[in-house]
Amino acid sequence: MDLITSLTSQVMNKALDGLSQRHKAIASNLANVDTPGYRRRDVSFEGALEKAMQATESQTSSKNRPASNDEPLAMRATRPEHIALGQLWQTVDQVQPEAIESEGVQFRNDGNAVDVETEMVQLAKNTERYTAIANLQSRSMKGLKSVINGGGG
Amino acid sequence: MVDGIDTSISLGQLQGLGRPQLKAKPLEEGPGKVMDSFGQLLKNHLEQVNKLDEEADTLIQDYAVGKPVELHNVIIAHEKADMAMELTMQLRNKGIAAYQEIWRMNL
Repeated sequence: MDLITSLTSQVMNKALDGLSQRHKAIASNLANVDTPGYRRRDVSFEGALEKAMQATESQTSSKNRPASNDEPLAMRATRPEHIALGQLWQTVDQVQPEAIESEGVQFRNDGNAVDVETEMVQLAKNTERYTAIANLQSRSMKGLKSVINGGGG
Repeated sequence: MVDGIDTSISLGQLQGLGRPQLKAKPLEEGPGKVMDSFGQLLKNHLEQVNKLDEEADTLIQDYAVGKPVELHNVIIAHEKADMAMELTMQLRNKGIAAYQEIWRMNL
């Protein structure tokens, strides 16, 4: 996080990454409606993103708070030379959308599990969310810009 | 329109000018007091703006990670926060304009 990148804007960025990958996955599903043996693809990122977001939030707030004796002892790397004991939490930046292949419900004998209607619904949903978050992102940037311009422009 | 000079002031009052009795009234309603209450007003306003901003941020984050929040609520919250920020900025601009107006005043 820096001067103009807030946690929210990072989260929005990552969500857009994931949604755009999901868009590709859905497009690929639709393109392969008639490919025998094709397995349905999807992208998952929401869970990881939420976890990373909560971890970042609690981490940044606990840094500002003086350590109290009531808190349970937690391991932490306090110097860069410390070997990370398996990173306990991910930053929002480190979240990567994960591609998954699923069996789905097969209706046909050729091993293809793509249902066009379901894909179309997913596509519509995905597009709506992508547009909305892209819009929100650009609005936040506009807000920031107008603060920099002192409300003049 | 310029109001005429108040002629009802008696000579006695004028003679009292500069005497210690005028100091008997401390700055209860003076600039200090006004500044304090104005400062409080400003502080409350800024706190409110910050609260709106935080609410909008939380909603946007929730929407981005796929929690079941309605899109219109997100947009409305964001728009509210934006408007509050815009208002703050215009207030600041007005304040600075007023200050400069006074600064340029010929005495």
